[in-house]
Amino acid sequence: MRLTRLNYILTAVAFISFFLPPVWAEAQVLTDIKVIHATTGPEQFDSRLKPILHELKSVFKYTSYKLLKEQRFDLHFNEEGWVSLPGNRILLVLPSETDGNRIGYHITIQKNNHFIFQTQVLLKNNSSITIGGPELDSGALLINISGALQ
Amino acid sequence: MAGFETTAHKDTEQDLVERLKKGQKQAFNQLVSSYQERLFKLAYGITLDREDSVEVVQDVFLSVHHHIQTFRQDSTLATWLRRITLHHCLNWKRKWKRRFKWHHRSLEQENDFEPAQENFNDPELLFREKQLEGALMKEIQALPEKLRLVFVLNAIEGLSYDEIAETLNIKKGTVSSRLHLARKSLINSLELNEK
Amino acid sequence: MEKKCDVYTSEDISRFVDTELSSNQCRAFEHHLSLCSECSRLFGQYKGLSLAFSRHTHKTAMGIATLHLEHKLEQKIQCPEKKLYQNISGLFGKNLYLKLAGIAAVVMIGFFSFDPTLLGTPSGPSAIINSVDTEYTSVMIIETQKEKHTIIWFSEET
Repeated sequence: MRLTRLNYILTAVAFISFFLPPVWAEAQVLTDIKVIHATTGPEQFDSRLKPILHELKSVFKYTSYKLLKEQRFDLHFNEEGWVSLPGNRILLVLPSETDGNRIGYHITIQKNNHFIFQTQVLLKNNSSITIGGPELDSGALLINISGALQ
Repeated sequence: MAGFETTAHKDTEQDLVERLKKGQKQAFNQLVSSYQERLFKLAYGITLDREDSVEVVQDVFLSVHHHIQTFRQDSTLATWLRRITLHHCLNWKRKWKRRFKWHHRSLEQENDFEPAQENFNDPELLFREKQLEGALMKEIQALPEKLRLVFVLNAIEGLSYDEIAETLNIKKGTVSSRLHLARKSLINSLELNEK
Repeated sequence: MEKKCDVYTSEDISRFVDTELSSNQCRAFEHHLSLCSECSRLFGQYKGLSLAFSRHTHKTAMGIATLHLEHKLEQKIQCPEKKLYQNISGLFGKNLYLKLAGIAAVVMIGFFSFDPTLLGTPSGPSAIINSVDTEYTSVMIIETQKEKHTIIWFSEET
């Protein structure tokens, strides 16, 4: 009798747990890519760059940060997203794994269909990395990649 | 009759794609048996490594299995498979775990370039054939990637200049000059070796 | 080896091998081949390269274990499904302690995934770099002082 009541309780708890955020369901990674043109021209910046602007300014001599494009992807693990970059370049991003609260990314840059740069990083959830800097119109191209687990 | 065959072939391919999208195991087995040899030849032509080529082809079929729903049929199945294979081959060489092997591979190593045994009655002819084939493969390995890609797509896949241009996203004139350069370079190297 | 013929270049011969000349050009070229030993020799060499390479690749392809590939693929595709099935049947098995442990694991995973701050926000840089691979020699990895934002900088100068 006791065991039957316990079975009911355990089954109920299991059932309720099912409706908690399902970690075993297919996870997605919201990946945001910002393509930035940094120059030493008149001081200006796009308001969408506010979260990282202070960090960029603390490292680079550039005074102007213009957001050329922003692209968002909802990627499954091992699903590739790509963005075209100025100068016949392509950026490829692929979330590959999670490690604690970090997201593993393969990031590749190609120029004229030729590989020029590749890195494998563990990005903190809801954080970003910046990669630069191919030359572009008397300045540099910066690419900010952020990721958030869904 | 040729037109009828073409239509029938398209229908067969469309049917296969539909069954693949439904997740039918038999359809996937059919895809693998129909295309594995062809894709292996293409992968081998680029990587020039038997072991790597098998792994590349494996990855290609797994990729197709996972992403078949994204195939919009705006090209033939063969063209789509070729593009995936090229993508995997080019990225395969660039993986750092392979990079060491690729850059430090001895040019004296002939294991992958051993031609399969044939029933020649003339041992001298067989030896000469083996030498020439071995020398050719070494020179093909030494070709710059841009030239080798075009040469492989032409020699192995039999693609026209237009098809190669579309596959690699380059101009037709570039295909012609790269293919010419590849051939010229190979002939020059082989003639130098003979001297 | 320099092309000696005054009428056609070696690139013309290359294009003829691939039947990329117009039909008129092809006819004229075929006629020229019967008269010019140099072009004829080069044509044979260019054609031979593709044939030899194709032949070698074909022989190599014949040697691979195709059944082995099919079996491997089947294993890789089927394996994840089998594991999932086993987990479900284990969770509702007859062993009480196994049941308790399974429920406890599900609850804990669900609870912590709902509120990850319970595990504490990991300190350290915004990105940990596992590896970098580039054709350019100059690469810098920077971490900003305040937010520990990670920046990878590479120069395209060769």
